[in-house]
Amino acid sequence: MTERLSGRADSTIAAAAGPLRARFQQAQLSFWAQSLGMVILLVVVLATPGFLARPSILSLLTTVSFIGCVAIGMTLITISGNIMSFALGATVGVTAMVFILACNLLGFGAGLLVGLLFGSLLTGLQGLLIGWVRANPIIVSIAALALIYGVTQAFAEKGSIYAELGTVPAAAKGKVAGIPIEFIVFVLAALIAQFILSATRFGRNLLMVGSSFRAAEAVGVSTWRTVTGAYVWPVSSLRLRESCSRSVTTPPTWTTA
Amino acid sequence: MLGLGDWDLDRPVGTLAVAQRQLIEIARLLARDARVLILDEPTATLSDADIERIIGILKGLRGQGHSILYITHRLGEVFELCDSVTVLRNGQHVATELVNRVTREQLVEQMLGRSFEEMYPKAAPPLDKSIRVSVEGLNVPGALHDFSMIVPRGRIVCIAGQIGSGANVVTRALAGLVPSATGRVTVDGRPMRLGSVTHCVARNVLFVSDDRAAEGLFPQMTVLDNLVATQLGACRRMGVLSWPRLRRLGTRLAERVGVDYRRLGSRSLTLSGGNQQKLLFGRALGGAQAAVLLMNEPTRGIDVGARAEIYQIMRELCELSSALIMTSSDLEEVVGIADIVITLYRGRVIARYEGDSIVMSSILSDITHPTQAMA
Repeated sequence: MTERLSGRADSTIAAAAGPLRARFQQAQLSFWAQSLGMVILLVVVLATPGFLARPSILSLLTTVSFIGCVAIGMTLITISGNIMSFALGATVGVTAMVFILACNLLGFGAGLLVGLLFGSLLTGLQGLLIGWVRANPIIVSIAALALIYGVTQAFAEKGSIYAELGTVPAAAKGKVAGIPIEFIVFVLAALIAQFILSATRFGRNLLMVGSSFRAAEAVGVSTWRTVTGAYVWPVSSLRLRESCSRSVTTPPTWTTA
Repeated sequence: MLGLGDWDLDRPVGTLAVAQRQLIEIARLLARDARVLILDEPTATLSDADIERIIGILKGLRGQGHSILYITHRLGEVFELCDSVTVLRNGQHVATELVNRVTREQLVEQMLGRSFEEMYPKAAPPLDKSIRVSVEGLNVPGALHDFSMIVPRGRIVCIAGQIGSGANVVTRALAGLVPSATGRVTVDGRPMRLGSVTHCVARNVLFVSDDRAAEGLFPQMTVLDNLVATQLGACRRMGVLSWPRLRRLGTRLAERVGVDYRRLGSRSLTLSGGNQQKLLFGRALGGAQAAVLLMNEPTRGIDVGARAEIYQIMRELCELSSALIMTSSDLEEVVGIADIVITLYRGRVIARYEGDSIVMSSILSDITHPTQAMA
């Protein structure tokens, strides 16, 4: 019997892979699984009456735009090597509340600014804890979620917060060429995120930190600033979307609904 | 058989040292009653003491009738362990010889494809002998005591010492990676703040880690990204990165360090160890000013051919007035490439050698059994 030992201690003993096994390599299995999923989805779509009707599509685009904005923000956090944030949804909810209250008091423009600052501060603090103190991102985001949820409930007393009539400009609630503003904002946010990742120093630093934190440190990347930035930026995109929200009613229990 | 009898069998393997994990792998092979063992660079990341242990065990297995196919770039292990040696170069079979019928020099020449003397390129007389780096009273609590040195332009200074001697702490401290380091450091006569990598990189003081996988490369990023990692600031137009400029720079750097520029878009993970190491050197060639390059074990885990190329790159950097400060546990390398050698023992400087006074026996004596501390 012949055995092979690799220089890397964590490597496994190599085994001769036969042609049959090669055909079922993970990458190929993944491709076929994805293709099958797409086919099933297509069949379900075509078999559901009214799914492709205009109202259904518009509703879908509006919903997808919100989830998409959260996903873009989460993507930056994931790229920075910090897995994900459990508190991003709660942050959006509480920031929306602050935005509405500020809009009612100060008007739309100032409300937007206050909301942006509040959200950035909230996520920036989490980013600072993770990037500078090197706290565990999962623990930080769970703690932030609990804090946000508790403080919000105590503050709003399980009621709802509404924007006063006329606070939000009509332009922020409509459609452009029949496309919901929310969807346009989502596409814009995606394009901006892609631009930041490919064409800015911050974006490249973010990829470096995510690829190897220690190597990024060794080439002089300010790792804590980069990680904090990854946590702050999503809020900007999310607030942008919120500012264009059709409905600015945000119950305090929104994040756990 | 492997001396593992007193080990706690319930202990997670992740908590073991690398050498112990290697022994676990060897034990696993023996448990499957393997008569032929193929070992691919089993000592690449081990200390001298661990290597000695592994080699001792392998000799024992050889004595018990096991056949061993041993792949290594460490020539000392070939002569200590093997009965016959086969040299491969660029995928071609070069020679198969009985170990007792071949010399070290012949083996290196077969591996390199050129003469042994070309392994370490000769140092050209530096045009500018001014001081590039000055270190005074460098201290790291528990690791380094009152370390001082002067590094002229265009010279390679090697800090020699065993593991735990503090040699690698010097380079890490100068790279800004040791927050507790104190001392006075100047680069080109200007003071440099310790404890800040960003500050050091801004002064073009760059670091090549001995742990290439964890602290050197961005494995999931492309060859281009790795080459230009420290030059992003210089390749911007109105705050936006200029990819044509980055590509031109990446192509130039790849050609200078001998990496195929057609692989700029490949993930660095897919390159050989030698080419990965060349990427780290390529970063030092990208700046407008000559760099101060700090290297810990710059040729660890790479083949002889790539080592020769890296020595050539180091000399080219010297010709550009860069100052190179390195540590190495390979004494042959120290004697072959260094212009100045500073020996360390338990965090203290023992001696300083330059030119013809660099002799392996003196260095070995200093780093193992020092008789006197340097005044």
